[in-house]
Amino acid sequence: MRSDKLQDAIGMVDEELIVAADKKPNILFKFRWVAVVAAMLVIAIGIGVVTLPDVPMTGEVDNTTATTTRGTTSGTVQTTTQSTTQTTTQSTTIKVELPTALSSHAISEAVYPTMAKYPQVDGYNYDSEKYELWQADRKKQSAYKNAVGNLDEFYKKTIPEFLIDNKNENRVYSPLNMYMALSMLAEINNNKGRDKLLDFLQVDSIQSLRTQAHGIWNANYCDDGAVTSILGSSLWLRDGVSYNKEVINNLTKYYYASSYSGKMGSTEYNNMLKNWLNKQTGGLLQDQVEDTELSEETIMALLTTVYFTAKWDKVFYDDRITQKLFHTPSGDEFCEFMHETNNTGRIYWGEKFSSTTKGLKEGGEVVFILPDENVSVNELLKDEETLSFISSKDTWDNQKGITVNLSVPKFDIQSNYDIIKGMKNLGLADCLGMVSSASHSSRVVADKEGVVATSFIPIYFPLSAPPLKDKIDFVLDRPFIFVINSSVGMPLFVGVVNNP
Amino acid sequence: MDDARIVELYWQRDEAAITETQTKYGHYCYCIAYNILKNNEDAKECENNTYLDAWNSMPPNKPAILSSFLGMITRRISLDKFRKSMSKKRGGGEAELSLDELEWCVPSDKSIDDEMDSENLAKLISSFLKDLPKTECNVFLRRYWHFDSIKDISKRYGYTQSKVKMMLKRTREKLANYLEKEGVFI
Repeated sequence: MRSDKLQDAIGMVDEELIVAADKKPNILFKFRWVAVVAAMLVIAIGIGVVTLPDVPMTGEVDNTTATTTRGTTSGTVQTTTQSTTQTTTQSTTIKVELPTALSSHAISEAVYPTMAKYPQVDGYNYDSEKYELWQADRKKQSAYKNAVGNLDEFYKKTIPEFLIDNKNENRVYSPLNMYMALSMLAEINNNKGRDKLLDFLQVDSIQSLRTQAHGIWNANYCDDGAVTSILGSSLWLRDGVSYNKEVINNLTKYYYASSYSGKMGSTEYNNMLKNWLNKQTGGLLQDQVEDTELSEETIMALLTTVYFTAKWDKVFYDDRITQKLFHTPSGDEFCEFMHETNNTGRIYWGEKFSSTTKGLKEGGEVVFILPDENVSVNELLKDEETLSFISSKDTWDNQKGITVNLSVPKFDIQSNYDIIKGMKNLGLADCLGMVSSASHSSRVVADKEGVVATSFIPIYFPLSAPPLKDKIDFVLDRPFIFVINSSVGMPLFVGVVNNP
Repeated sequence: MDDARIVELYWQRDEAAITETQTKYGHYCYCIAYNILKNNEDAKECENNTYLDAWNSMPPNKPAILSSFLGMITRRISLDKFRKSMSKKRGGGEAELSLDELEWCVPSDKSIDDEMDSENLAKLISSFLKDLPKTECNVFLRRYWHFDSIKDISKRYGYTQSKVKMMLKRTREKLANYLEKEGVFI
C-alpha cells in the first residue's frame, strides 16, 4: 500500500517519543472512582398524543409543597411561572443549579434534597458531630425503602427483555430508570394506557404509584460526597401547547422531574436538552447525548437518567494489575485484570452460575455473576433461578462465607438500544400511543489500578452443591453479568460484559 | 534486573539475556505483536523471533532504551508477517485499519518519493511529533506505533472514542500538510 513506507518510518521515530507514549497517563477524575455509571432513557412523543390536555399554558402552578430545609426530602418543588410578558420564580430555599438559559425555559424545577457531607474519617480521628449528621441523613433517605413494594416481578420481566442480545455485545440496563420512566409515562398517559401501566408496575392506583416512585427515588438518592446516586427526570414540552398543571406538579412533587417549554427542533432548545442530559449523567454519555435531538414534530419528550459513582470499599492495589486474556464470544482479547487476594468474602451459587460480591464504600455493592462454563450469559438471563437471585441475593439459601481471590477485568462499556420493541414485547403497546422513539443508553466504568498474577481455576458447582474448599479463585475471564446494587440493595444497573 | 545489565548479558553472549528479556519485556512485545496480528500463535512466534533478532543484533548494538529497541524489532517482524498474510487476504486487525487511516496522509494523486529513505522520513516524523501537544503525540503513537485499538486508547486516556478518532484525524491532517511542505510527496 502507499502508506507502507509511512508505517515503517513511524516505527523508527525517536525512542524518547515511544518511552513517553509507554508511560501511563495521568488518570482522569472519573477513573479514580471504581464504579461510575450513567444511563439515560429518552422517550419522544409525536403530535397526536396531547396527554397533558385542557389547561392553557398560563402558569398557575401549585406550589403548596415548595419549601425545603436541609435534609427535608418530602415533596419539594421549584416552580417558575411563565407568561408572555414576565417570568417570576417562586423560589424554594435550595435550587438545582442549572444554566441560566435552561432556568428561563422552566415551568417547574425539581429541588433535590441536600445531605450532610461524608466527613473525612482517618482512623479514630473524625468529627463525631458531622459524622452523626451524615448518618442521620443517610438513615432518613434509606427509610424510604419501606415505602417501596416488591419489585421482583418487574425485574424478572424486564431484565431479560432488555439485556438478552444475540449480537454478543456489551449491554447495560437500569431497572430503576425504566421504572421511573414508565411511572411518569403512566402520569401523562390516557386512562387505558395508564391502567395498563399500573397493572404492569403492580400498583392498584396512580396514588400508590406516586408513593412507590417517590420511595424509590428517595431510597436510592445519595449525594453526600462519598456516593453519588441520582435519578433525574425531566419533561420537555413544545411552546404553545396546552398542558395540565396538576400533572406537571405531580411530576415534580413525586418524581423530582423538572419541566421545560421551548421551540421544538430549535438549536437552542436542543442544546439545553443536551446540557441537561450531560449534567445529569456526569458527561459520561456525551456521544449518545450528541445524537439526541428533538425534531419539530415532537410534542413532548420524557427523559430519565441515573448517575451513580462510588469507590470500592477496599481498593485494588496499584501493583496488582496484570494483562490477561478474556475469552470473548468472538475470540480472546487481552485486557487489564484487577486482582484481590485472600479477601474475606461470600460465594453464592445456583444450578447454572456462581457469584460473589465486592462492596462499595459507604453503601452499595457490585454483584458478579459468572455462568458455569457450559452456560451462556443469554441462557442465564432466561433462567428463573438466576433472575430470582438478582432480586433476592441477601436471602439466598446457597451461600457461604469463604476466602475469595477475585480477578475482575477493568471495563468501560457502553450500550445504546431502542426500547420500543421491548416495551411491546412486555405487553405495553397500548401505552406507547404516538411515542415516536424511545431509547436507553448507558455506560459503566469499573476501574482501579492494581494487581497480582493469579492462576485461572474455573469454578463449577454442580447442582446446588456448596464449594468444598475454604478458598476460591473467582476469575471473571469470560462473559459475565454484573449487578450494581444501591445502598438499600436495589439493582440500579444490571449489565452483561461480553468484551471488557 | 535493570536494562543495562540485560544488555551486558547479550554482549557477554550469556543466554540468560533471553530469559531476563522475556521476564521483563515479553508481555510488552507480545502485546505489540498481538495488536498487529490478532492471533495468539503468530504473536507468540513474533515475540520469540524478537529475542532471536535481539540476540543477533547485540552486539554490535548497545541500546540505551531496551524497551523501545525490542518493541521496534517486534513491530517490524510482526508487520512483515502481517503484510505477507495480507497479500493473500485482507482480514482485519489494527495494523490494517491503521494502514487505511494512514493512506489519508498521502495525497491521492501522489506517492512518497522513492529517494526518501525510511530513516530520513522517520526523522521528519519525529520532528513533527515533537512539536505536537504531548497528548496528541502520545495518542498518535499508541495508534500507529503500538497499534492500540481506538477503544483501548480511549480507555487509557479517559476520552470518548469519538474524541480519540477526531484527535487522530486532525493529527493525520497536520502530518499530511507537514510532509507536503517538506516535499516528501511527488
